[in-house]
Amino acid sequence: MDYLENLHDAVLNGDPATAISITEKSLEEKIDPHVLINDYMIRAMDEVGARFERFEYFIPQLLMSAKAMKGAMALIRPLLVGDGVEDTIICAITGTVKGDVHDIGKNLLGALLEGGGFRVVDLGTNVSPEQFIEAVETHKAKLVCMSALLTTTMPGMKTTIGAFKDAGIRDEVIMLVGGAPVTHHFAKNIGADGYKDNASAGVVLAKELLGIEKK
Amino acid sequence: MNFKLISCEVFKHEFFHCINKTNNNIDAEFIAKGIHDLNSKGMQNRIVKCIQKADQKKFDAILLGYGLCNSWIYGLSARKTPLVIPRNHDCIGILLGSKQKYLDYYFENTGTYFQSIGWVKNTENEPSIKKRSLQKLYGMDMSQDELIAQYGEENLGYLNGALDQTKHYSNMAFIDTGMDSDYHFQNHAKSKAEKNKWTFDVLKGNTNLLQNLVNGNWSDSEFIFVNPGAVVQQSIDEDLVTVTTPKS
Ligand code: B12
Repeated sequence: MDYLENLHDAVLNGDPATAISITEKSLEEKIDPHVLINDYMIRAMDEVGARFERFEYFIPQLLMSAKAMKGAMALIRPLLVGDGVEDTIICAITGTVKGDVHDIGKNLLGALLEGGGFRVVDLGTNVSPEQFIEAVETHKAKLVCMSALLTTTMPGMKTTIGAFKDAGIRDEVIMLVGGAPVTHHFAKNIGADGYKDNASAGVVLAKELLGIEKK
Repeated sequence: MNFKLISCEVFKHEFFHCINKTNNNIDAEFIAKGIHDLNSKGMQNRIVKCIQKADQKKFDAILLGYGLCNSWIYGLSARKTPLVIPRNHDCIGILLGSKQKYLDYYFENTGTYFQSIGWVKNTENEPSIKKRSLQKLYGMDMSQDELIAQYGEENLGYLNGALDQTKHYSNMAFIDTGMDSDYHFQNHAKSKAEKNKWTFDVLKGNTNLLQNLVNGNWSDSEFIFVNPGAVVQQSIDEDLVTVTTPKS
């Protein structure tokens, strides 16, 4: 099974073709898909996130790693359905708040969340509080990640958290906020559970707050 | 009164018009619009350098032609000379003459790309800024050829889709501030909108806020006044800005 380390490397180096062919091979050899995910791909994506955070990786590199993992996951996912483990995978909702169409940072966060083992439902941009609430209920999500890049739209984060309170479901989810103009101070004062200035640290924080142990 | 004006070049046209109409002495200095592409600290450092120079020269106040843009403003403090800054999100709200007008249009027309004379005129960044820009740092400025060379032709479509800067736009709005040359720049913007198949709108702006700034007509609702020793901080109300009063 030495070749599995190549799966780790393919994800780390953003090589979708190799990631897919190794995954095919290992599934034929009946290697437990959870091993592929947890021991190889998530470990690789953790490293990708860390390199991005240190500005050693460009956005396109991160995107290529995400594509490699996505390609492998597309083969693995059907095997997970119905084995009970899929149900325990935590669902995260991502979205850019109302009025805002900046999505590059939010998409990177989504990629790293997926890389971190979350099931990600992305609501895209210009997302209203109602849409966030509906998505949480539909997907039984435990994590909500809001992004805003504009000071005109940042107050939408406060509104959304307020709407969750009004709907009586605020305590059922962890709510994180981020995007360039957001600060720790702002996050704390609008009642968010946390803030990080980069996607990689955001994933670590999400896991911490959700009590998912880091290996 | 003697004022130093340090402003984003996006307002250059409008400010010259206002400076001609004021009784105050204005020593104007314009900084490249491109510094918005630096990180917040980089942008702040650039502006503070000018503020510190002016601070030595006994102006009655230093006027800043900036909004909250890029969060550059947080942590800013006044030393000897008071600072006056429009209480506004960015140039769009300032040129519309009202924050509320901006927000109303904005949320009614999400996906709008705003233009004004200064936006049409200043599209290209100087190399020294490009080198230090967020786009460069993040690799968002790679050319098609560079992307192909690094990641292969087969991944180009995927990367372009993820990095596309304009996919969410559907409308362009030109802010007409009543300058003589507005029409020329408006046409320029319009042809850009047509090229991208966006709808095109012209919004009536004005120079009231900029005029009030140089006239020294600073109401609390329109301007942030930073006394020596005071520090600008982020708040969680709609303004997103507050000034801490200096300890006496
Ligand atoms: C690229 C860009 C655009 C692109 C967006 C393309 C896209 N698909 O996203 C386009 C050209 C469309 C655009 C449009 C506009 N933009 Co713009 N844009 C930017 C720019 C240059 C970079 C943003 C970016 O992608 N950064 C790179 C990513 C990777 O960083 P990031 O988003 O911060 O995300 C990182 C972290 O913050 C974190 N993160 C992000 N979200 C979350 C969420 C959570 C929960 C966590 C934990 C972490 C996290 O993870 C990421 C990776 O580590 C910024 C400049 C800047 N300083 O930010 C201006 C900027 C945000 N834009 C600005 C403006 C004014 C506009 C326009 C209004 C301009 C106009 N003339 O119309 C429009 C508004 C459109 C709209 N309705 O939203 C201003 C905002 C000023 C303000 N008032 O706040 C900025 C600051 C530039 C400036 N002029 O000062 N923009």
